[in-house]
Amino acid sequence: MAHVKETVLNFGPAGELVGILSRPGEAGDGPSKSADLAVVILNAGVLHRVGPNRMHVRLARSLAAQGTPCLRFDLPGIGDSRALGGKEGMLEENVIGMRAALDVLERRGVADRFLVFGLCSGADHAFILACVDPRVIGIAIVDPTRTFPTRKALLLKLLGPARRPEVWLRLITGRYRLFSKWRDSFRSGRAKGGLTSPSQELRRAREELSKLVERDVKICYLITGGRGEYRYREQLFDAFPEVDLRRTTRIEIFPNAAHTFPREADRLALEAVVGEWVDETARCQTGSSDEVGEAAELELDREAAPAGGEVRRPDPSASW
Amino acid sequence: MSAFYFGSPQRQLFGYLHTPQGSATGGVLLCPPWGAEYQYAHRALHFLAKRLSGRGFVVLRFDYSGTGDSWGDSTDADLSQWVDDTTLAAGELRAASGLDRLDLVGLRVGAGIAAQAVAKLDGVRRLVVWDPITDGDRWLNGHGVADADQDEATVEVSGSLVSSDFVRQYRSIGGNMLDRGTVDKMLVLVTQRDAWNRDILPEGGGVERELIEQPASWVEEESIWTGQIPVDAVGRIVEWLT
Repeated sequence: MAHVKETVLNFGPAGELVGILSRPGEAGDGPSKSADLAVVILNAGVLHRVGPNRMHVRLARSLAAQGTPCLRFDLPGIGDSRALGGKEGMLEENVIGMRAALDVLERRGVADRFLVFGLCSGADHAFILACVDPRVIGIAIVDPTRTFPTRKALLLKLLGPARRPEVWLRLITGRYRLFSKWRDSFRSGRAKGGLTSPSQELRRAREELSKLVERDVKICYLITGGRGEYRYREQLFDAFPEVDLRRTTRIEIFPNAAHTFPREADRLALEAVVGEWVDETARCQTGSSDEVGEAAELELDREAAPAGGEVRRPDPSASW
Repeated sequence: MSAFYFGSPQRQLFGYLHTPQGSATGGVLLCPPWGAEYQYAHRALHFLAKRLSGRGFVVLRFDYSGTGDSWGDSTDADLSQWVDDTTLAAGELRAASGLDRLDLVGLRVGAGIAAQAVAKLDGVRRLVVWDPITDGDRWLNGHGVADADQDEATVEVSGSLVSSDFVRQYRSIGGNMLDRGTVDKMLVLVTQRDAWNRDILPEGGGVERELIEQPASWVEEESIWTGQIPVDAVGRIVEWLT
């Protein structure tokens, strides 16, 4: 791609981590959007920094061509990066790695405020990083592994099959396990604490989201077609009615996209949405770098953390 | 170990060099697969490179143009260019290792690329073709690409948008790409029994053929959402080269 320069960066406590920095080309190729803003792209599961279907390379180059530097890198122990070798657990190592990525960009004078992009476990990591590092002013997260059910989502899940004639046929002929499916759904909802009694996880997510809103961290919440337990556009807002997410959050649904964006049209749509959001956020933040607040100290809880090697796929049962 | 770009400033290729602790006993160039097979096999090739460097080899992994971290879009993919990229990478490996004589290892389409590159390179001692694609037409059909698709300017294949010229090139891949050429020795390593029974594999003087049944490193294993590392197959390649 023209007007983009790429450089290998080795960084981390002992140079264990590997990333590629994409920058706008030479002067004259177009103005930089914001002199102190960069995008950082995190691994999707254990796929290396190139991303599923080379999505991260394309996104980084497209953002850089538009004027925003972009770093894609491998978390410790993934792709070309080595594990840090300390006593920390996987999540702690990942947080150290992510902060090291921000540090290296800051030290090199590339940026001191960051937007972080991640798909699946990368989305979870982006959220965690935003909670612990005040330099993060926005996150674009695709299909995070944690979604929070609402009554409407559960209803849509239960009623979904009613739109399919073969389900009625199986129901009439007694071959449809309707009641066991309802029971399983109800149990699953209760287990996740999403119906009437907020679980610890839900309370914690509410607190974290409230702090992000308080810091005016922008969220671009992106959901693909399978959507797992995410059933309708406003589900995030409905799950946290007491948090003023509408002020900071943009929700986009890609109804035809699979989780890893294997189709060109979906990758282009994603690049367009993220590019537009980066643009908006850069404009919005211009001149307000002194207003970055203190980040919440997030307790790193392995139970609530994404499994480092896990890439979640949309729940196929979403369409039953 | 170090990551770097090489090639002309306008067409930079990404490389990752694995260096041994002590003095180098040999240089090995790894030629990767393409498409989704590339992303899933990354772990296995990384693992192989580490094992080889542990045995004293300088190892270079790299991405063809239009793939991975290298220059270009997927529509720039071109098998002939990838053979040239491989010869360029061999030159980088020679410069980095200070060794003239090299070994090449190619996985899936990378096997054919490596074999073709041997014809353009002097001083390649040994060649490992690992689970080679021996019938591009069948591979494309298996990935849902019909003959008529190549009449379009671009075609979606295995998570990439590519030119119809590339599809035509891929369709023409055959066992004849795997000629031993000028190398002293060649190992044909197959991990899938159906391919072993079905494919027309190279044979003759200097060619060793082995079946070691192992998980396909280039196929997504759903429990880990990437490819598995076929430890025994990797071990066999390391032993054969050592």
